[in-house]
Amino acid sequence: MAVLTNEQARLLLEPNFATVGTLNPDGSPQLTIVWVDWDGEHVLFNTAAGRTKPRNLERDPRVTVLVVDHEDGYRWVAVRGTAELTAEGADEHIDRLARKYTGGGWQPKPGEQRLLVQVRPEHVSAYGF
Amino acid sequence: MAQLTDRQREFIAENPYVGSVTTLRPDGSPHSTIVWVDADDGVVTFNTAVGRAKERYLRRDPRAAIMVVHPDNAYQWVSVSGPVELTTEGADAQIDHLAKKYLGKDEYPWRNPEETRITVRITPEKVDSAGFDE
Repeated sequence: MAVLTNEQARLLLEPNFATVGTLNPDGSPQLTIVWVDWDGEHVLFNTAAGRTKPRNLERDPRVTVLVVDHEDGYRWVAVRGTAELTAEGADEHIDRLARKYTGGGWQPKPGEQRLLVQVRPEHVSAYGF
Repeated sequence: MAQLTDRQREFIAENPYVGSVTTLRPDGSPHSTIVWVDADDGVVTFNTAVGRAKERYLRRDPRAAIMVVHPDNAYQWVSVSGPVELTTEGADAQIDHLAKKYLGKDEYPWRNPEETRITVRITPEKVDSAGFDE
């Protein structure tokens, strides 16, 4: 297990975006951009059932989350770990993220099942701290 | 195969925006880091040094993905994935070019005589983007 320093955690608590790396069925890497959060133990992000990312993570939960300071591209934290997906609390979580990133609440989309992804850091690399 | 549009290529080539690159560790798990990035002649390129993790990983498994995000507008981004080629030829000139692009300097200021620079060229197999309205 690995831990984030307070300064590294702050990067995740501020409204910086993260790139998430997952593994496609053939093992090749896939990158997407997400809103991100930190609960003191896990990196959290949110997605919707049926998308590429959760399908990849359900098959192979190994993941990277890389967060760059939007004011300084030379300050970043990369977390590698294992993802756990759950629908429980996912709607409340996407609403919290929406408030953090947009200042307004989340507008649920009909038929969309949100998923909360929790990543426990196994390895942390950082730059610019 | 996929192709970058002119606007996607310019977005990468003409702005000092860093790229997130993901490679594969020997156990197949992903490894992500930040690089300076460029695009030309239909390929996306970055520069590293021989012996670094991503260079070693790419020699084992040449599959990579890279994403460049506008630092002031995260809803504009380009993501490219595909196989890479590694070459030391021209890699010193490339790191100088990247130093100009990112730092405004004619020469890469952190050159280390003990390291060999290497250029990584990603041939786009898949291109995704947002914020280009095309």
